[in-house]
Amino acid sequence: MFSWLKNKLQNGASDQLLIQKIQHEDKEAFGLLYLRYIDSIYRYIYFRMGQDKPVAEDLSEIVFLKAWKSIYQLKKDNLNFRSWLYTIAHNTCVDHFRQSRNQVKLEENTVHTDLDFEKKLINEENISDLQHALMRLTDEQKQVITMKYIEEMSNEEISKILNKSEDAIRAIQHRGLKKLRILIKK
Amino acid sequence: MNDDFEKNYIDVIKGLRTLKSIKTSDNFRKRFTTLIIPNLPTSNTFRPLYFLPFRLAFIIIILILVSGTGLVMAADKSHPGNLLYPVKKAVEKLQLTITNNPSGKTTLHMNNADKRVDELEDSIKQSGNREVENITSDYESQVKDAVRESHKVDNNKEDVKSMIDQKLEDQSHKLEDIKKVAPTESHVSIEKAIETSKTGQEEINQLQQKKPEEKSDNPNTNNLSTQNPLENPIHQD
Repeated sequence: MFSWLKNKLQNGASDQLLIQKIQHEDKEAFGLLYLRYIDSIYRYIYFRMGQDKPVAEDLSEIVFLKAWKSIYQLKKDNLNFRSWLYTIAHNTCVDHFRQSRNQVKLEENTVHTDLDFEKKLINEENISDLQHALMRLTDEQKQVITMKYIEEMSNEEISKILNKSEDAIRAIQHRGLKKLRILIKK
Repeated sequence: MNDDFEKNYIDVIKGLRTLKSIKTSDNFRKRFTTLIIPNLPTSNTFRPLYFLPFRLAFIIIILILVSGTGLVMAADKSHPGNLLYPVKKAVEKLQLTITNNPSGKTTLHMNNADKRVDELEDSIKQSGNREVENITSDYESQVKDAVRESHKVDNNKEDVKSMIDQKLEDQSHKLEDIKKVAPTESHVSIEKAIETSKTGQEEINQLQQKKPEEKSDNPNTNNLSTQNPLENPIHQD
């Protein structure tokens, strides 16, 4: 009875409260935050990594291990855990790209590399046209489109994570949506 | 805030929202929560002394220790009138305060008297008559205190008295030499210091002439007398 009540209360606890507990080495609280954000972080990495499931899973784990290691650095008065977690995820992806130089490049010229992933997935079922189209976007467009329209984040939050102006984020969104429309119609 | 251009892409946006159904598998989540989370390293293992308050406190302590030691060392070379001279005097006073035994105190007073003679020599070389009176006056009080403390020293400790005698002898000669190069107006003060030194010597000689307690009765006497008080002025009598 009490454990049920405890779980109910903890599930409803704010990020801030859970972070305070984690900063006092509460692994159970970390587990709750993990369950709250794992899917969101996984999707962000999954789309960025050309929808490669094993890589997305590995990197998602790395993100949460890094978060556990440096969560004490989060300031109590400025707790935006989600943005902070996405920043870790962004940096983890950048590190991964650097490490595997031959796989994916970050800018516009990544299209041909993404095509390799597309070929790999083309035979798989349950991959929608939209998902195929997503793979053809640039890394920057993928990030912004994922964060904005799948994770429903604000432009302000995205601009902080990617360290770009809100106008730049808006422009990337526009170009991304336009390109998706063209690719889907094809 | 919705941007105007989004109205033209509502179908694409709706499609994108459906991708939220992409999730990690139950097995994947279970593996992390049941295997990885319980084995996460505790914070103590990865941030021992690097935690900011500890690091700051550590740096401050090191700075205080380093600057304190450096200050005392620099002060030891200072002369009357210098900014650090009061530190040198404070250190001397502290050493005398924490030393309980008479032989230790006697040795410290004689060392201080040595320092005053050196300071007098430097002072005359550098600035003629300035500070001579203060230095000689301090010298006199150090000698008097040393002689007074020597009365309390165990009669068997002849080496302490011999040390005072020897030092006073040396200091007298040195003061005579300083007087030769000193300006005439400082001669009176230096002569007074020499007189104090000679008086002290006479008093010490009288003390030494007093027959020490019979050494043969005390088998430890030889061991005690072999101790050099200059090496460790804070030893117990």
